[in-house]
Amino acid sequence: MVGKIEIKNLSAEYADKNGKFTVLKDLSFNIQAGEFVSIIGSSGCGKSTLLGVLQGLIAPSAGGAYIDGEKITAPGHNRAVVFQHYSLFPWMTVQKNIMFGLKQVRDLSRAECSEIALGFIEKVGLKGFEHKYPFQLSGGMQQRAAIARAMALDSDILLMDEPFGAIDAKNRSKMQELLLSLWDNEKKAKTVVFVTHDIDEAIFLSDRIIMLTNSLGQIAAEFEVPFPRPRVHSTIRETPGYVSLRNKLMSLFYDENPGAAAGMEYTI
Amino acid sequence: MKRMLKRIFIIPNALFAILLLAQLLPNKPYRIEDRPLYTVVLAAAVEAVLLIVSLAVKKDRPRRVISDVIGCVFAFLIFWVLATIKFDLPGNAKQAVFPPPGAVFEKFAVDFAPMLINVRDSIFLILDGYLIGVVTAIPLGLFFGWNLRIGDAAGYLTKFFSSISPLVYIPYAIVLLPTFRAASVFVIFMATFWPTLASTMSGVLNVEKRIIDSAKTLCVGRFTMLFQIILPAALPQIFIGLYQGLSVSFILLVSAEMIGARSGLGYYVNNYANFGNYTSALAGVITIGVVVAFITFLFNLLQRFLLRWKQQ
Ligand SMILES: Nc1ncnc2c1ncn2[C@@H]1O[C@H](COP(=O)(O)OP(=O)(O)O)[C@@H](O)[C@H]1O
Ligand SMILES: [Mg+2]
Repeated sequence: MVGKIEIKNLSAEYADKNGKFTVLKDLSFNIQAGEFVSIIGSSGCGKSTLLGVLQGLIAPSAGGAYIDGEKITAPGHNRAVVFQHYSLFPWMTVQKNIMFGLKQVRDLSRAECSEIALGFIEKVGLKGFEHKYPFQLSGGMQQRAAIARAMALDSDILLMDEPFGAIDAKNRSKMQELLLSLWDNEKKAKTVVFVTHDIDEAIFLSDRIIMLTNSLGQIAAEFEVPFPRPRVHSTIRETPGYVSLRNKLMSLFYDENPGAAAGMEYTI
Repeated sequence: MKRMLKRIFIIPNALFAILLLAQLLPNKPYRIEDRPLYTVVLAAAVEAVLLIVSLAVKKDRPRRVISDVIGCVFAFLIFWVLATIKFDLPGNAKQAVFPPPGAVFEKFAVDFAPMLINVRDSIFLILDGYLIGVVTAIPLGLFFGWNLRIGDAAGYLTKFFSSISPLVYIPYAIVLLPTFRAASVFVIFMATFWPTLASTMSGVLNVEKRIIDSAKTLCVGRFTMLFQIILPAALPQIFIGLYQGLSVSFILLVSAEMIGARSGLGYYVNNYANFGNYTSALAGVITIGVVVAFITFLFNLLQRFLLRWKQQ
């Protein structure tokens, strides 16, 4: 199986007018091939920076991240990405966006690209919207299209940075179920690294949850989520162990975030 | 039926009636003879367009725009005929530079064939200079903007150059370039090149970083990044420079055609103005205005089409 991620002694820093400041320091953990891992942590703790390193967009200041033993130095065909905003190119229609992605990454004819694109458009429930521009779609539909593009690339790894962060609660649940059903039904078991600040989302989606500390981006805690798949929102809350896991995560999360009242929604 | 009537009883139609009535007022003694028939024929032609548009165009907005424009034309014609031949507002001494409308419109009829040739030659001149300017400025702007994403020294340089009137280059162009026409094209080129380069560079610098990141994660090549990501993303801003270049090109047309041109609207205007024939010169000026309006209209259509992916 391919798609194993190792993060070894990873540090990352940014420069500002006061000099350098460290965002991630000496972070190490592994993600198994085919595993769905969520990274949670409060706003500004370094989740996007970590994902940026995995995307190959941010160079670590020390250590590094490795995919199947190879150090990440640039974006690559083995990874597909979904951001919270602007994953899609606004001047391309939904179908053109997906076809453009395919053309860059896979060696396919135009007709094949078109066919694959239409297939994924249908899978994410956007049939009839293939010729719409992103501005003509709701935020949720835009993210469906972005997911369709990422899935169509058929990469080993899917990197998602708060992809549902700007979607209303009801649609967010639907999108989570859609993502899981796409992921479950892939022939190839994709490794997913999913950044979120929503605990329920992390539990629902993940095999494992990694919580980062507020500062210096270190691991505060790690949780296995042993609930059986396929998962749906209507039943997951009744799964034995759900409530206790959620409570544990909640208390840790808000311990890690002094000043935040328990139960308060965190925003980016 | 009532809606149709409402489309007929509009101010532009009333202005048309007033314009006709104004023709009936007695004339003052005037140095340049009016040809009221030409005014009436032209106004009637415009009125016919107005009527057709009022009744046939279903969409509200374009219909209103067209009837407003035509209303303004009629209002201006009324003022023109009253201020010149009917009341002689500027005073007797200035009559030579203020021909009455009919005299000017007569020139359209008399000079129709040469005027068409002038229109064609001017459009080709502007097109040559403009297109050369655009096809050199956009790739250069993309290249500089993309490679200097951090520093904006180039931004100041282009601002410096775009603030210099292209007229300054005329003597150099005449000395350095093989033909007078090349010198004229060069003036238009300069009028287009700098604003397009400046707006392309600032467009590139302002491309949303997340869009670039999204493209990078797809591993796009250098060429694809420049022409399929950066170019469309910067296009809304590029159009600002393209429009500025077009406007300045037309403003400079008269000057550009001063350089030894033997035809063209600018040449036509220059030529008659030099001989004190303001009747013909004005006919040329009006023609330039109509051509500019028409080309601006086409430009806006192109812009709307290329930016159809943007929320209005
Ligand atoms: N390009 C950047 N330049 C400077 N500082 C940055 C940059 N991106 C993020 N930061 C800072 O680094 C820290 C971590 O940011 P980020 O990884 O985006 O956090 P998260 O995604 O968890 O909210 C924050 O304090 C943020 O302000
Ligand atoms: Mg973030």
